[in-house]
Amino acid sequence: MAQPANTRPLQVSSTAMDVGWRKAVNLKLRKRDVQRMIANVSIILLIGLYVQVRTGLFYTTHNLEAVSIQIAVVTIVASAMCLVMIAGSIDVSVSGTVVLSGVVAGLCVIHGLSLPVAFVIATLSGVVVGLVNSFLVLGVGITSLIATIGTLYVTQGVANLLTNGLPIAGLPLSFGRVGSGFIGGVPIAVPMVVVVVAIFVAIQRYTVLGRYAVATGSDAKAAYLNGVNIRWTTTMCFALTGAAAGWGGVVYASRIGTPSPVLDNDLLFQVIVAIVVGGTSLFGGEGSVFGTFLGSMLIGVLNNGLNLLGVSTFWQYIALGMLLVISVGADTVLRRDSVYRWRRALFGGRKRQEAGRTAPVVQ
Amino acid sequence: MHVHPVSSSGSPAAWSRTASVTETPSAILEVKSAEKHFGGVVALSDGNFELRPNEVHAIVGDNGAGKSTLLKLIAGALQPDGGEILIDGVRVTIANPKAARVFGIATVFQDLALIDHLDAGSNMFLGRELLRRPPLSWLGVLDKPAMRARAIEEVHRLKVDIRSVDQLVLGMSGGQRQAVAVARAVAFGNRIIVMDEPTAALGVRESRAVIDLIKEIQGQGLSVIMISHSLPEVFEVADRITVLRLGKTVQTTTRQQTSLTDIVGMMTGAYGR
Repeated sequence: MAQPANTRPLQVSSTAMDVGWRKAVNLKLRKRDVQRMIANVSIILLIGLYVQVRTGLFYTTHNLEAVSIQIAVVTIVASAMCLVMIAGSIDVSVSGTVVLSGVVAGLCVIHGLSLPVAFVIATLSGVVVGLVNSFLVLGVGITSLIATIGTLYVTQGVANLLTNGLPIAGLPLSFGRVGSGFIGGVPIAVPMVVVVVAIFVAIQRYTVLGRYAVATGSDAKAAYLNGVNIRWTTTMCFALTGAAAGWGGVVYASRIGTPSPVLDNDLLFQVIVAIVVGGTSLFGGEGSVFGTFLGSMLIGVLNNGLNLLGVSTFWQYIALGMLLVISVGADTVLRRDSVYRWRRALFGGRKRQEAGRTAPVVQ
Repeated sequence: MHVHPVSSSGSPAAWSRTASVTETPSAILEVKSAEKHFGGVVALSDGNFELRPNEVHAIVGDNGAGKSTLLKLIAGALQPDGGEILIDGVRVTIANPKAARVFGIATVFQDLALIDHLDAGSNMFLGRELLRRPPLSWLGVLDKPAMRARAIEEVHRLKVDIRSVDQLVLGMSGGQRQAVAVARAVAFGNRIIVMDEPTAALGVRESRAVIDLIKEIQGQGLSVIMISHSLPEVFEVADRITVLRLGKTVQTTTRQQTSLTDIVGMMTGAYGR
């Protein structure tokens, strides 16, 4: 700090805190988060542009509808799981919950329940899985990764038991409406994803739960000492993730039309990639639901673009893997001090803003 | 043998007058023969402590004397195995740090217990967030503008050197972090501030700022309990000093009645009980 030694060690830096424009600039969006979001949005647009130029098929209504239907499940699940990861845990049981909930929804309809009731029960089955997870993590004290691997297998097993390992056939056509239907000319998936993402963005940014999740994930002991109820926080995060995975399962089953007890491992990894590419830390404390949304859009657009370009599935796996590694790697490398100086030398960049901000000593 | 007429008469009026004379100013917090064991290890066997209104009270002692344990009992971070804690003469149980806050006790822990990924203002309101009006408060919606405004107000009132309440604690210097932790403890109507080694991790200039901050806190009518290894600092800022040794309270004296040598003697067991 370039402050002159002075006889009054206590200073009031009043201007820095009162100026309105700073509040506007701040918007609680941290600089690095903004950079990452801009990067992700540009990559999404660039992929779209490239595919459009090459094939002329990307920016068509039909294709964009297909993309939004494809990313719906990943986005819904990832938005909620982002909260769990901010709170310093992880929930890998979501793909099991998706399968279980889809099967539950199908069975409920087969047994004569109306669609809304079946969907609510299926979503609640997800909440139950979430509560079991939080019990294992908090009550028993198992690390969340191990606990949720356990419930991942258990949910998959239960789904197979319920259906004898076979897909559920003979569902009414209306069952498929939620996953692949249209409302007012747009896929139902579009407003649904918007609403779910909006809910979780709001929870993360504007509620006590979101703030406590950051506190719990950043330093659970410090959070506890400050009176944060870390058990409530973790439980709520797992329960919400269970609910989202439950609803995601409904959408997933509905899109396929025949709920199947077969696990979709791709789904789990896409969810994790979406969250991590979106800038959420695996160690808790930082992350953003909106970034996660962009992450899952990126995955969806990448997969779709490669499909349109006729790239084989094998290469698509490689592309997805490289997306994860490059995205996280670039962020890590760019944050190194040496690279930062190098970047500043190349692109100018601003000097430390602190010097300009420091207010004169108030006498 | 000389028998004093008043004490032999046993008059209630005389007793009460004597009592009122010795108990002024009355203690706002008392710890009486507190005990704490960790398995077979006795951390505190006879902790006695008394805090008066608007005083700075230092707890000193060698490593393992039980200072931190005594402090954690007061902060509600630990529960005593024996003895009692009285606030305003009433026996209380301080179940957890949140309960301590209800009694007006706020603690600045040695590791500060700040959340790196939250900004200074959010840290000040951690665990007691302000919510929006009822329909929204049921959903736990934060009143961010109000909290930010109050945080700025508190920072100004305490004259602490934080550049902006919007700055993440992650990027702050040791002194700034200390200032945030102290501001959090002092704000919002607490009356007893407990500080565990407030200057241990700080440089000379920053320690200076914390000492001044303690005086500032006292000037605002609050009481401060502080643990410190730095006896010169203790002698500068403390009104009274309690010495602990091997889990027992050796003595409480006023700063004027004692000297650095006396205190060191009591800490090491050369003098005292």
